Order: sequence, then structure tokens, then C-alpha cells
Amino acid sequence: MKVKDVEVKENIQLTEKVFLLSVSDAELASLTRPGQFFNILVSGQMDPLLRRPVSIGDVRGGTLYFFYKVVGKGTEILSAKKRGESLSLMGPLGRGFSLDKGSNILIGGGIGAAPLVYLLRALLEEKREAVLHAGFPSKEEDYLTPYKDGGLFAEQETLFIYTEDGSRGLKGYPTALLRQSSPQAAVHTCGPLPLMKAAEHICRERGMESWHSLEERMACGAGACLGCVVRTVSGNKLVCKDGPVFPGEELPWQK
Amino acid sequence: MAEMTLKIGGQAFKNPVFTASGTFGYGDEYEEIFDPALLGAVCSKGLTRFPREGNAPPRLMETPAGLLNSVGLQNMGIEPFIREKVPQLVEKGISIIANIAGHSTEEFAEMAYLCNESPGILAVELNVSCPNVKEGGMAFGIRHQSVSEITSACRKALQKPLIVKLSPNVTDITEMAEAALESGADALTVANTLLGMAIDVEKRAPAIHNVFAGLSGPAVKPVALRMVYQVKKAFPHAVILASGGIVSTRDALEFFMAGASGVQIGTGLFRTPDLPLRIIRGLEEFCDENGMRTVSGLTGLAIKEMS
Repeated sequence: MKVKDVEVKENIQLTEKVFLLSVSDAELASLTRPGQFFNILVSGQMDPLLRRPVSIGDVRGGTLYFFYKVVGKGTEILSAKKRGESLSLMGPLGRGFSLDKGSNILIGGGIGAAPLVYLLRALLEEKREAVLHAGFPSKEEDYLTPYKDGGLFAEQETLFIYTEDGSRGLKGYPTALLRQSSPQAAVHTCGPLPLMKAAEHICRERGMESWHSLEERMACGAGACLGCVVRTVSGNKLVCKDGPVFPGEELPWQK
Repeated sequence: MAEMTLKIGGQAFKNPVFTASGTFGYGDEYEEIFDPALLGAVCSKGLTRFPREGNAPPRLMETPAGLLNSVGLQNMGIEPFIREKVPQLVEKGISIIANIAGHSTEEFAEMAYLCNESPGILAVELNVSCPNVKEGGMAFGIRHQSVSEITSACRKALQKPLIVKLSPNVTDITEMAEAALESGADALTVANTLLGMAIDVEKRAPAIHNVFAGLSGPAVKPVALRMVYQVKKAFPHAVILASGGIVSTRDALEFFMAGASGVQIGTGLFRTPDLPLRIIRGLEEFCDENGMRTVSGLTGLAIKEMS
């Protein structure tokens, strides 16, 4: 964990609400693992007071990429940052995804698909099998297709887009093909709770290993304030330090 | 260089900048960012007689220049803290103040006794002001009588400095300060969080599971500052540790000038994790630039009829 001032390299609008912010920092890039996040200080003013936790979307060379959705005051301010402006990053924070399994299915919904991009890249670099299924309400909200991914998605059949209205890719939810997949594959999800729960339900039925990246309101990011707890089968865990990625079997998710 | 030492009840702390209970974990969570041994002291997470799960999430809500929290004293319990954590912290050279929260006067006294027997604990801070637990906590800190009883009982059980952390959720904080000081407190922490709430309009429900929560951050600073001033003016000999929205050296200076002898940094850490070190350096620089030989010379400078 470091606290470091970095320069904004790019801050591009990908969809109406989703932006891609990149910063070059070889040290932070080398420390970062898929599924971890950074706490970003967006303003020198006291409102918003806290840093914004943003998952690491991708790492290429010495550049870190953050996909973020404008949902409130903090992300609004972040979206106005220009190339060359300074930004304080705290991180990398938390424990990321497991890269151990030979075969992997990644399921993401909305802005939750962001950390799975870097996971996909890392898994492929480790010579693992991995496919990302990403769902959006419609093509207007799909920020992955416009992402210049350095060939990640093009090389092989690694990305499947789903839209609820069928305006791009497959019509429906990104869990659609999970029942037909190999039960030996590990499943990694991030997105709205109903999506993660639906995936977990199928994983339990089929005995598949699963990992879910959770979200909770957060303050310190370092395990000090105990604000971001999630109740697990083995008691309270901190999303910031014990997670954000948790094994499915730890989560008390009933059907 | 200005003398930075702060003495509380015979115990010297290397500087007057502490981290506030509940914002710095058990003491070493931030050690990758700075060495906690450089702090005057670390006030531990609020400790109870037995381990506590704390409140259900959501526990946090950000507000303009503020933070609402309702953690509800989640902690490992005082015995595991003393047995497992204190030796690790002592090994790292960290000065520990144990923040304790009992369900009853007897339990407070029992915990004070356990702290007395643990050489690594330098002082005890009584949490009679937690707004987020159903029994005890703030219910003690808003009654003159219970502040007196708890402080007296702990005083008997403890040969170390005793600090009482007061609740700001009272009509007259000087009454509570008087109760604590008359019952043997060596210092007062002014103050804990202000009781508040937030509502999630979409869900038509409170934003925090426990409904009410404690407000901290720059939003509460003027209130805490007023309380420090009131207490110092009423009790010129009181040693006050100020806590409430400190995010800069200037904020700390305001509290010193209002009557504080030391400051506790809390919510500001979440923005600026090395904030305490910046404030230690900032205070030294201010003293040096203004020809002050000791940081204690700042205390109460702005109090009318005292300076």
C-alpha cells in the first residue's frame, strides 16, 4: 500500500456515464493484482470528504486504467480531471482474485465488469483459459467495446457482450451460458448483487468454485475503521482488507 | 526545536498528536504508510470485556464535509488485545492508550484493572460516549452521576493516567467535565462524535442500519472547538485532548489556542493517511517560527481573560 501523487495521463468518456482514467506509474502498476482497488482523492476541498474506492480496470506496461461510472459528486469531479493534473492514489488495496485455476469464467454486470478486464488479461498471461461474459442494459451502456484494449478481446474469443434489450451481442444476462459450461471452471463475478447471487446459485448447484467481488460503503480502505463489513459464514469480514473478493462458499446467500 | 512532550498524569508522550479511537484500528494497520511509533500515542479501537460483532451494515454514510458511522464497537475483546496485540505493538515501539467501553461500572473497573496489569498500556481512555451501542456508551456519558461513578471506580483500579472521552451530545459539557475531573480523571478527550442520521430517499429508509450514527469530520469542528474552549475556561488546569474534524495543522492550532494540550486525529486519516505526521511537523514549525520553546505554550492562547 502506497500513497502517491500521480499525473493523469488520459481521462476519456466511453459512454454517457462511464469514463476511463489512466495514469502512468511503473511502481504502482507492478504492485497491483487483479481485483484490487485504489482509494482516489478527487478534490482538495472537504466535500466530498473521503477518497473514492475505484477498482483497477486494467494494467498494461506501466499504465493503470480505471473505469468509473459517474454516480455522484466525487465521480463527477473525477470526470473533469484533465491530462497532466495531479491525483493522489492510495493503494493497491484489498485482496484480489485467484489466478490458480486452469479454466475460468468471468461474469460481470455494468461497471462491475471493470475489474474482470484486468483479471482476464492476467489469466491469459498465465496461460489459463478465460472468457469474460459482460452484461449491460443496452449497447449505449457498453463501455468495453469502445475500450482500446491492446488486442485483449480481439485475439481470441475472450469477450461476450450481453444486453438486456438485445441491442448488442447476446440478448439476456451474462449468466446465460453458465449452466452449459465445464463444472471444473472457476467462476469470478462482479456486478449487481442479483447477478452475483444468480451466478452463485448455479455454481452451488453444479459444485463450481466461485469468487465474488463485493462493494460496501467504505472510509479508510486499510482495515482500520471497520466500516465496510460484510457478514460471512465465518463472521464479519472487511470488504476493504479481507476482500473485496470473497469465495462464494463464505457468503450467506440463499436462493 | 520546540519541546513537543505532553505529560498526562505523570506519563510523558513524545508529542501531543494522537490517533483517535476507532479510526486507526488496533495500531499497526497504517504501518506501510508511516511508522506509528512516531505518534504521541495510538488510542486503540474501543475495547469491550468480551469480543463484539458490532452493528449490521451499512455502517457508514458520507455527508458534506463529514462522515456518519455506526460501527457499534466491533472488537476482539480486551483480553485478546492485551495478550496478542499489545506485545506486538510494544515491540514496534508504539505508545498505546487503551480505549475501554464497559456495560456497567463494575465492568469498566474490571477492564481498567486488566489494563493496569499490562505494562505495554501507558494510559486508559474511558469511552463513556459511544453513540452506537444500545447499552452503556453515550447513555453513561450524558449523565453526570454515571460519569462520576465510572471514573471513580476506574481511578481506584488504575495506577496509570486516566482519560475520560466525553460525549458532545449534552446540554452542558462542563458538567460532564467536572464530574470526570472531580472523580480523578487526569485528562479529558473533547469530544466523541455528534449524534446524527441520514436518509436514503430511494429506499425511503435510514441510510445506516442502526438508524442513528456518530458524525465526525470537518463538519463538527466548530462544535468541538467551542466545547474545548468552554471546558478549558471552566477548568483552567484540565488537560484536554481535542478531537473533532482536524484535517490540517491550522485546525490543530485552533484547538490548542482554544485550550487543548493535545489533539486526536481521526476521520482526517481517511483522506490523508500520514496526516498526524504532517501535523506534528506543522506544530514544530509553527512554534519555531513564532519563537515558542514548548508546544504547551500554545494552550489556551485564544481564551479571553486567560491569556
